[in-house]
Amino acid sequence: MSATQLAAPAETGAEARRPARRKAANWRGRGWRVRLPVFAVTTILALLVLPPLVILVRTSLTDYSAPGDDLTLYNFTSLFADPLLYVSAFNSVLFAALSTLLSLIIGAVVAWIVERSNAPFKRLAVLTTVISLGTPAILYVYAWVFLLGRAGPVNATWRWLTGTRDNLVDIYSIPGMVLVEGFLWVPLVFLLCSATFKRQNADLEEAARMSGANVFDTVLRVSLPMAKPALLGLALFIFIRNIEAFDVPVLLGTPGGIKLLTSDVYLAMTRVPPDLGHSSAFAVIMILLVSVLLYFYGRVSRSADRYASVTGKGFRPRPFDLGRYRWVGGAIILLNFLLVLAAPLSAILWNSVTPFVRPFSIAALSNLSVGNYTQVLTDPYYLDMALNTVIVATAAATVAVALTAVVAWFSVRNFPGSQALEHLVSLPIVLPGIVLGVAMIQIALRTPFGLYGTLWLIVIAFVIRYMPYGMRYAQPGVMQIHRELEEAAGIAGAGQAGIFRRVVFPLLSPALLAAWLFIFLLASKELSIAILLAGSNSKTIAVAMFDQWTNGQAGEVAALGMIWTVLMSCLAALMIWLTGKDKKSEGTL
Amino acid sequence: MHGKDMTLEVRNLGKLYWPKNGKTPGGGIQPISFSLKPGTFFTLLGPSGCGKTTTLRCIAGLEQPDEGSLRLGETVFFDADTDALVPLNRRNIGMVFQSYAIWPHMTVFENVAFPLRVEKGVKRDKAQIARMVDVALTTVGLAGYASRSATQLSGGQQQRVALARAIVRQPGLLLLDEPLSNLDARLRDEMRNELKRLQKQIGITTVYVTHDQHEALEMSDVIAVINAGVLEQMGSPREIYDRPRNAFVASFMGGTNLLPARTEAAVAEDARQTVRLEAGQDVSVVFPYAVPAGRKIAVSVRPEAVQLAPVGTPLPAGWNELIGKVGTSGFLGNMMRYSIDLPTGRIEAHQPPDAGFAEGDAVSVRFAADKALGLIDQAA
Repeated sequence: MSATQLAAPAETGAEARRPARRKAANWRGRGWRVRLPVFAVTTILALLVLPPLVILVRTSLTDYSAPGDDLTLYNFTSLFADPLLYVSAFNSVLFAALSTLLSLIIGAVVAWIVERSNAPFKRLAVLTTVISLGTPAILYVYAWVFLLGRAGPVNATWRWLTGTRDNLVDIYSIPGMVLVEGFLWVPLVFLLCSATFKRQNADLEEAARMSGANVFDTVLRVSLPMAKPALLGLALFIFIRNIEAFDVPVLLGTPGGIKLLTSDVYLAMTRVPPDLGHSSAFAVIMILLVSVLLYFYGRVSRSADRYASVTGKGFRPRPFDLGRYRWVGGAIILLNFLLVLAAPLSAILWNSVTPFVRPFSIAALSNLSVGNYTQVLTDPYYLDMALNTVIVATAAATVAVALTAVVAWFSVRNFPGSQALEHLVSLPIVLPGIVLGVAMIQIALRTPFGLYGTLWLIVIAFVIRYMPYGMRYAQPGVMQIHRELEEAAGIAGAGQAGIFRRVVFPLLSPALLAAWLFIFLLASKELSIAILLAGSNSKTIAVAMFDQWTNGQAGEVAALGMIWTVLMSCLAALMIWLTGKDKKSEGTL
Repeated sequence: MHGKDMTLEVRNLGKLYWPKNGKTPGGGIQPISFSLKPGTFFTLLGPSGCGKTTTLRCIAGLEQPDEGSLRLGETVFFDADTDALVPLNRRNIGMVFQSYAIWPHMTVFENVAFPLRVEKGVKRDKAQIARMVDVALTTVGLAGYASRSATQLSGGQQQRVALARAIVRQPGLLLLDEPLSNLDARLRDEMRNELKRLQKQIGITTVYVTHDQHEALEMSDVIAVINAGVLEQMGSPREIYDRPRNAFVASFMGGTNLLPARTEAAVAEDARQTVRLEAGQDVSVVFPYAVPAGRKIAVSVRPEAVQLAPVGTPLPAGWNELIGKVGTSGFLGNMMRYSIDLPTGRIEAHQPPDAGFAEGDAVSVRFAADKALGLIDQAA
């Protein structure tokens, strides 16, 4: 009955009549017993989230060339006076927009074929996604450099076919970067689009079919318009991530002389001496840009909820029969597999078993060796890196998940004083990785104890960065727990701590485990933060790959990458299996 | 239960969600008072959104009232004046939720043992817990189900687990929030009897919330009819059905025909009086409660008290007659249901299944004066 639902607008009214008693309206309890834990968690969050922002703004307003305590707009005026900013911004937007378009088209088409049609090879698409999620981005870039580079098989074949000396593709250009970045995001787009298409109610499509529409008309007039808000939201999300992208701009753009916002920040920081004011001003501008984008993203994804046509469980959409075109669908899945997974992976495999960089050839088959693998597996340097990565990723994932589980519970259940929690926990979304890195360096330099160059600095940065992701799993997880399950535990005599430990946490654990794996995967391949924060003894695998590559140890990078990819793919498979089993957190990346 | 006086005392309990204004009718419950002797089966009955669940949740401690006091035996659960408040987990109340709220990650045994494990200040050993759970499960007819996973159970069985969990530590009060509304019709009938039997067997004071008047009539010792946050009437099932306080209670307790009218002079309690319907006819009705002069009233006639006859059939002494035309008729197996068009409005009549009036026939609609109740119509 609806008297229980009357509880929802309780905050709005009755203020006038009995203001004194409003405070204690929650059955969770009253006084410091409930307020203290909420206050403690709020403080922890504020201590994590606010300093990076404050310090960025502060340094962006400091002129390091003319030391003094005065705040100045010098960094901004010099930044805006520099035509380079506009070039970089234009390049960033162009690069992000085109990459988004590419990954969206491929990802969405493949997702639709897999989820809503009877095309063959569906499992291949899932396999592609699993392994891609486990592969560090830097390894992808590396593979594509090998494939599309001047001496790579694609250009070599082109020259051989046409007899010219020109190259077909230049990977160190915006189109080349877009190609690589676009392929990089296909797996995630596929995963999120699958969730959208899976939720579409086939009844609506069948109604269109019954009214006389063919498959094409139905997709065009019913399925696509229904998915449009979700796809638009997804496009904005990927666009934001592409604006923040670090690996491709630095690895491909910088050698090609193409400047983007992220690579500018990075270059300003790695200059000697690092230009803190300049990079902070850059960072502040990036934060503003991302905030604007996020604002629109929030509006779009809210309107997407209105289009959710399925809410219940045990729902299975009926696939379209493509008829003769079934094999076209299968071919697209196959092509996706070849482009996104098989080609880059075989390039890495090839490099890992050849003693020095050389193109694919029959002749080279005779002196394949596992030397790179023995080198990687026996060198204590790599073992240390692997250990560092596992420590950092485990610690970051554990802390972020533990924090967000409690935060999600407090805020979904409207604990007294919990209003600020949700905003605090999602605030780091506005910080691109490289920007957070810049802020953390400055924080580390100011702490009296030796935080700089340690693993713990990276852990803290990762916790800040990945908390919003943890929240994306934990929040719907808590919402799924019927509130009467908690009320029953309260009536049965349990206190709030008991309710959390005995009822909420066990029911939340599948979502939390998926969140943990997701954060672990992201953290273990994250490059932009780690590369700025890593000291000589606190490098992670991604940083090691970056270093070794720049040092020309391509074979070892490849071997290391292969081993790492295999391990991470197992985790990715576990995560996808868990989120598939646990419908509530599906598609909440 | 505990050999003590476990009377539930509710005094002026009120909660306001938002005040009445031009747009909203006001939400929450107006101050309500009642006192339940140990062992009473008490039902809060009313339409959706009337405040009955809010009242129950205030008793449970899931909502905090704005005013009034709440006491079970010697223990003051809540008192707005002294600011006393016992949190819900210290009230020793058993409650069955509408959704049953069976924890899906626990077995039946763990679900039922939960209240025993979390009770503050009481340490029970394994054997003791096992024994108490066994007693509770046997009471609800689920002996042997202890090791089942809670999610493997049918709706009726989950209901029983919820009940076992509510009674396992022998609480002072049992609260039931529309526990039968999620069951299918046959199971609902079965559980209705089962619940009543159990309640009598344990002898626990029970507060039951429902919107189904059949459930309320069959199970309760005392019924409180609530509408829009206001207690309309409280009494035994028979009293509420036979002597409804006003037109709302009459129409909510089973279907009835309400014929609008107005009193000319003040009427005393239990008086028999002739009133003029708004449609113009005079009818003789009984007033179960006193009504002041000039009030808008409704004459309530139950469909089963209405008889149909061909026009011109002699009228028994003391009966009223209205002339109308058969609008629609429906065969329900055990009876015929007719809707008769009167010059103003309609009246429903239940007749024996062999009644043979055709649609369009002119008929004499008749009912005894003591089956026609003159009730205040609060809509005015």
